[in-house]
Amino acid sequence: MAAQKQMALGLFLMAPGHHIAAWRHPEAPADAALDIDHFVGLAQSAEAAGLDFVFVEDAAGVREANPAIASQTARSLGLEPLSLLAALAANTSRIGLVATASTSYNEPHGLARAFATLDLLSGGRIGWNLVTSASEIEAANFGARGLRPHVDRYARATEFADVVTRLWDPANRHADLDHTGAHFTVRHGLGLPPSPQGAPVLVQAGASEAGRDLAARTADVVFTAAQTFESAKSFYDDLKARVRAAGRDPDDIKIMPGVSPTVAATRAEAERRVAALQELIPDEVGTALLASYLSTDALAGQPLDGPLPEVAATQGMQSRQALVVEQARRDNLSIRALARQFAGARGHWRLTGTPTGVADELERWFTGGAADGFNVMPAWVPGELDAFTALLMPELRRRGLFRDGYPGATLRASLGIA
Amino acid sequence: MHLALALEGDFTDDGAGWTLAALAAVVGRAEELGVDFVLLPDTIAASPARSAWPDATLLLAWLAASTRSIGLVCTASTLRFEPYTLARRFASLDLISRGRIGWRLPLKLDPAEQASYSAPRRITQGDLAERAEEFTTIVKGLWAGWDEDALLFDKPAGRFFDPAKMRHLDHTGANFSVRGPLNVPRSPQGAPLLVVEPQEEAETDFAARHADLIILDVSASLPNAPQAKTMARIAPRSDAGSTLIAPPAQAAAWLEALAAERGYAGFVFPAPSPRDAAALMDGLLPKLGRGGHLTPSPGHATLRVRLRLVAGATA
Repeated sequence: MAAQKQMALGLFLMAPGHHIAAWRHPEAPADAALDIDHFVGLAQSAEAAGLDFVFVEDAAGVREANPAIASQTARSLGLEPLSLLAALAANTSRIGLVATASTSYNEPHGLARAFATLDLLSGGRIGWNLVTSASEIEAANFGARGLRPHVDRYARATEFADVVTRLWDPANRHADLDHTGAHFTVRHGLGLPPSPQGAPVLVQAGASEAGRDLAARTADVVFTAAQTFESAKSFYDDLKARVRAAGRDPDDIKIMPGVSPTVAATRAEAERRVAALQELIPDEVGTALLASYLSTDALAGQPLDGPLPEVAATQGMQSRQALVVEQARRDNLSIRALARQFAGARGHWRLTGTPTGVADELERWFTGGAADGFNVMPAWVPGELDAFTALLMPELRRRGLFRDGYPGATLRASLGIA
Repeated sequence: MHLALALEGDFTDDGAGWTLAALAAVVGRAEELGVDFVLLPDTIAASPARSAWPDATLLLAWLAASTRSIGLVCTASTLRFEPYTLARRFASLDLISRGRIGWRLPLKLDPAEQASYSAPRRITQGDLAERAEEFTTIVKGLWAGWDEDALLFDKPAGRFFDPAKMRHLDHTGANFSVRGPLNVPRSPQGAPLLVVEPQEEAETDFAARHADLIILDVSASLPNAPQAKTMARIAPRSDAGSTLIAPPAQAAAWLEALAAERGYAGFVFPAPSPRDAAALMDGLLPKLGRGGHLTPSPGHATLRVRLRLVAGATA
């Protein structure tokens, strides 16, 4: 066992890549999001490199309401996460598999059963990323008129997480649950045996006040978006304090900011690769993506080389909105410049450079108490994933920051959590 | 003649019931033999006496990864899924399996399901029938929302899909309102198969209007459903009560005559345990099919093609 604390590393798998124009990259398969063989290959690459898990996000609807814009991106079509994970479980043996599912459009018994099934299929390698849905497009697919207000979404999510956790508890598997609450009535237990890891790992990402509270009480892993060391550390300290206040050991929760690294032998080469993707962003696509995250029409008709207008707080992704607006003010970015930044990683941290330079930055956040690890977001795959595993991971291992091989057979074992 | 295995009975950790390993072994062997599809149940536990199965839709994805040609059908309840979620899950399964998927839609209300799903009011059997009608219309509409040639992948021009070949559903009904479109493209076989196993006349009427494949008890009369295939569910029993008509060659001849007389496209054999499945694959199944021998399906034919159903029959 290494004396030094080890980073957690996950692969946030978006095919053909996190960059909005990734599908147009000459070496990225344009149909990557629809091709199970491609996903299997990526998961196996990540497993060969020893990453803790692959993570997939979810959307119960197309991502852009305007078909003319949507038709210029690869974001409107893809495989559904849980069926994808079942197929990946069959083709991997050690790497964790984490999928997003919303508490807003699912029922707790059904969701608990689905993830318990995946946990059995994978031999105990599954995690659930709990989200409350933030999109009006999704709401329209489930008979709901508009989104529930943020506070109601979290009230439902809190009861939902409680029911799921109790259904997953190995002690409750063959008993009736007999839960009656404000949102849900659930009579029966799962009737399925637990996997070797007991219960799936619980992941969350909301950084609003309600999101932090829920995570502090219930999450094993917390994803977050931060672009500066200071903001990452501020979130880290706050969340760990809440974890202690909730009576839990702060080492039992892993905080993992997203990072989109472009790593090359020279900095110039890395910057060239970033620039090549930036060239492929149509202005209207970048602006629409930004507007969708700001949940606003306020960008319509605004001069693209002018400043970001005032954006009202909305019921959408509150923490991400705040981050993006802050970035615009901090770096004095025009709408066009902000949109082009945003198109790379949707507000997440981006690093461009040599293995040494990028490892220095990751190490600074990790040893400086701003992160327990990172959720890696390749701009396009397989290229930036291969660069990360071939160039950056050996450097992290050389510094004693990441383990060799898998310590056990389950996701809990990989992450070192109870 | 088309042949299928309907897996049922207990799912257990060990012992004589189904396990994940037994599932994979039986399905793999059935594929080698040339069985057209397997049908998985989707039961949640009502009590310690009734065994829960894992989520059948996810078992299908897992089985798709280790098979090439066998059809994979499972039950999925309209009470336990939103229509958009079900449409999306099955469309994704059909991509993962390259067009080998079917959805068996149950029309009977299961009290165990009611007790674990939080409807604003208790749903009656009559409600379920009306709900199933609307649910099916939505699911089929979502599956048909993308044209076969909608995806362009035109990198130089930056056109991923043609917006003229995608349609919103904009359904508003008594039970559901769904705008769409689905965020999964058209299935390799046009749409997943819709399988119905009617148990009374009202269900037969539903099956005749919606199903690609109708599974009937041998005692039932055939519905008027020209677009569908009908297969009979038969649990062979000898007079002594064992699970096989003995000898298999005789049983096979009898079944072939029955199919010809009634116009069945084939048979669905229940297998309440891995041992029952093995007995069927050792004895009876190899004797059925053309010239008394089952042959594996060549290449990667979709389930719709394999059952010789008209392409896009449900679109």
